[in-house]
Amino acid sequence: MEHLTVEQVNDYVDGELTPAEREAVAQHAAECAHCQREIDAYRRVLVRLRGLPADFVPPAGLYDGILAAARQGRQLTVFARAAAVLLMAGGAAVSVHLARRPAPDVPQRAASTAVVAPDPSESELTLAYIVARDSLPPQAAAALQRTVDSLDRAIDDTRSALRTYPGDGRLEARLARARQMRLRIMADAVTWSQATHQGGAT
Amino acid sequence: MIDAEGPPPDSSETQADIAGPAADFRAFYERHAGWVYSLSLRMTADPVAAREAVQDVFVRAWRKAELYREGRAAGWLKKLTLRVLLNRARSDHRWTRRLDDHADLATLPAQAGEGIEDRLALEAAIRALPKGARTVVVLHDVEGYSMSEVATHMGTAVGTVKSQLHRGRRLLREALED
Repeated sequence: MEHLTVEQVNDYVDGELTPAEREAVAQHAAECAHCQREIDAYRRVLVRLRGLPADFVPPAGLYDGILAAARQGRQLTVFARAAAVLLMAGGAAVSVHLARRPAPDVPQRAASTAVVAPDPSESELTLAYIVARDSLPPQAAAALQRTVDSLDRAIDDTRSALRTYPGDGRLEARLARARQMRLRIMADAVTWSQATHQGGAT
Repeated sequence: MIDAEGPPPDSSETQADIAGPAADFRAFYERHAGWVYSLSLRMTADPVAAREAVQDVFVRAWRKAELYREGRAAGWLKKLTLRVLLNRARSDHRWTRRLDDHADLATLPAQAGEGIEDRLALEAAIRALPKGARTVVVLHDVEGYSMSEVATHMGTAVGTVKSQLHRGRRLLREALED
């Protein structure tokens, strides 16, 4: 006996067959234990998926960060401009400056906090960056995002390596450089956006 | 492709919003943040990317104050959330990575219907799906969008959606039942 195809099984559990097709599949399943098991298995998965609740609890502090960014809007950037200037002056100074700021959105991470969790200042600047990026011309915004994405991948790769080789000095230095570069790109985007909307140089 | 936002807000709209609908916005956030975060977390499979997506969605929503003040924002917010997530999915390669299994524990609602272990296994299996299959499974099987709606949102053909859906379900079945 030829078994039902995956497509037939899926269309059957989705109710997407014509009455005649449906009857044919049902008749086959009644005589074929293998295909009946397939149908039952897919149904179980579907029932579980459809029963998933949509009420994850958002991370604590997320609202405060959103409200701060939303209120500041395109005029935000008092902090971001200061951050950009400080970034030009050197990473250590920035770290000290940012660490003293209240953190509206401390990432909720359960493990590997020292390696994985972003600095609160990164979350803050990321919010400013999102607002700034969206105010720029689409092509410029896309180019910026590609740059940030590539740095994110480098950061992720290095974090992953650090889980394998915790405390490796060269990896930690690489991670710090990538994070510093990411902050710089985002801060530059914010000042760029600000200059654009103030009619200044772009 | 969807266009949930319409024309970008002008500066006067932004200025008016700054005048202070914070209470309305807070209520709006509390009403919708749970499902926006749930959808974001399932589609991104990454708490950091999910948080950024939620931030992105609500910062944009703030600029449309008239919608949430009038209580007619749910449909619009759903489209905006999908747009943000699908746009990010196209560029954010972090979404392809797997997460530590315990990363979601703190966010799981206490009143989950099935056993916590079954629920975690299901969430982990969704998270482990390839990005395309995960997106389609979440939108169709979890969120309840039709295949043609998913195809429209993703800017792809129904046949492609169906293929990804079948692939995703097969992988879920193997992960959960084998």
